[in-house]
Amino acid sequence: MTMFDRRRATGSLGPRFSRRQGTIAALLILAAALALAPHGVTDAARHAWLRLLQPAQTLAQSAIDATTGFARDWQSAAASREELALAQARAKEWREESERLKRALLFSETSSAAANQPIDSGAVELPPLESSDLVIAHVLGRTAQSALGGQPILGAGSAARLKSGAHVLQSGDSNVDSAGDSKVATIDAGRDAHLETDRLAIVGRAVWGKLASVGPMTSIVRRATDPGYRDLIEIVRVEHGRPVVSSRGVLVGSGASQCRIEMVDATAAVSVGDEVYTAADNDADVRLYYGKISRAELAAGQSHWRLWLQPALADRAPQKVAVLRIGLNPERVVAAQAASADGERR
Amino acid sequence: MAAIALLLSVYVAAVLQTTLAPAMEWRGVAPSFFVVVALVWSVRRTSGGAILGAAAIGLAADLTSSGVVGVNIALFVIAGAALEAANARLDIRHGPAQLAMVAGAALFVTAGQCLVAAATGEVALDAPTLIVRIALSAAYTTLIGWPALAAMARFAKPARAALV
Repeated sequence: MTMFDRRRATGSLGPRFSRRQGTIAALLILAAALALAPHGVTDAARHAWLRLLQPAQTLAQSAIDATTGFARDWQSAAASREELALAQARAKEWREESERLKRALLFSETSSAAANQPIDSGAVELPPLESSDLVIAHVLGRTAQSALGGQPILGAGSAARLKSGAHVLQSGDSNVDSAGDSKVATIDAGRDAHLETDRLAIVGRAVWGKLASVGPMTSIVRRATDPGYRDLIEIVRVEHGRPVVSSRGVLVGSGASQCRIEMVDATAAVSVGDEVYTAADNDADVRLYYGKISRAELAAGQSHWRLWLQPALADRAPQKVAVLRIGLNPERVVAAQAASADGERR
Repeated sequence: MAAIALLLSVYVAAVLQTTLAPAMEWRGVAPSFFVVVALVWSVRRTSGGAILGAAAIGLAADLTSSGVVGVNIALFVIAGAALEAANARLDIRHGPAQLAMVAGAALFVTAGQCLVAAATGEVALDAPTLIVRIALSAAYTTLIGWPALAAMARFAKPARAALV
């Protein structure tokens, strides 16, 4: 076999180049030649090629435009369907809300009409059984207490009809006594003012403490932070801009600057910042303010919250307080006496 | 028959490149259907067929674009030769092999086109922008080309041992 025959059989162009390599080289040379070719030649070829492509391009562009338009319409329709579904859902919600409000209004009107129905004109309306009034008392400082032999005395005595247990409120013009930080808070009103134990001592509308003991002319006030202090309270939180009573509990003084709140169920919605008031049995009862919840903990498995209250009057030592005195209405007493006299005459 | 198929696929690639690719443009980057056709062609052809097909596709790319004629021929010939070699050595039925071929070819052709365009002053971009464009364009072409190559590879024979 000659060298020429061997080359033809193997398809090689030489001892160093295979047929494949030769093809590549030839094509690269062609590419270089085209790159160096006059623009007229390449432009003519380009125009011819583009004319050849034009019918298919028109067809393809129409298909793309149609597809794009369809996709846009479909998206628009889908969005419209979504908006329609949303609007229908909202309309349904509004209808339900409207029905609910109508029912509530009907119920309210019925209840209101029943509640506002005039009592039979022939009926005799009795005056309220209990009446309340305020007695202003002064808080005695340490000097005054020692001068009085340790027996706290109130300025308003029995002449003012104070009783043990009457509420003590600070008068509007009272000043805070910076030196009134005695261990025992004493006010100058006692049995002479008809005060009774366990009445709340109040500054403004905030609770300062309770009358722990009532003497002839003085009373000792156990402040909310003092050990042994206990009171039933309600926790009020603001929901949707309206105050809502979330739960009840027991306020306990511990001697620290903050009080503890016990017996609040773990299921109650409580958070720091909620306000604490005295418990009220009905809407007519006045709620008196204690302070805000400063700390709330709920350990896993515990049935009650661990809560701490920051009293509104924690750092204040009022000079004057107001005692809310609650007693029998004199009109009722007179009416009862008159009725008794009538009965005896008959 | 093979020549007709080649001409038809080149024609379709050119039409798609001039109509569909602009519609698919994302941030100024579009896939190269010529690279996709070259990949598919290289899977079915061997012993120089892939190289000739790639040259034809490169010529179509040159005539379709506004750049210097001959650049794409050279790029596609080299890419075709590399694909042919890879096809002979790798089992393209496997995903990683397909990905390597698609990404490699797309990156080579895209980078070549961009670099030549930058060198001849057709585009004036700074180096970081150019690199990002090359990477995005290659990634986009890979995204389009990989499924096509995977579909073709289902009918491909196992890897041949070596080139002729």
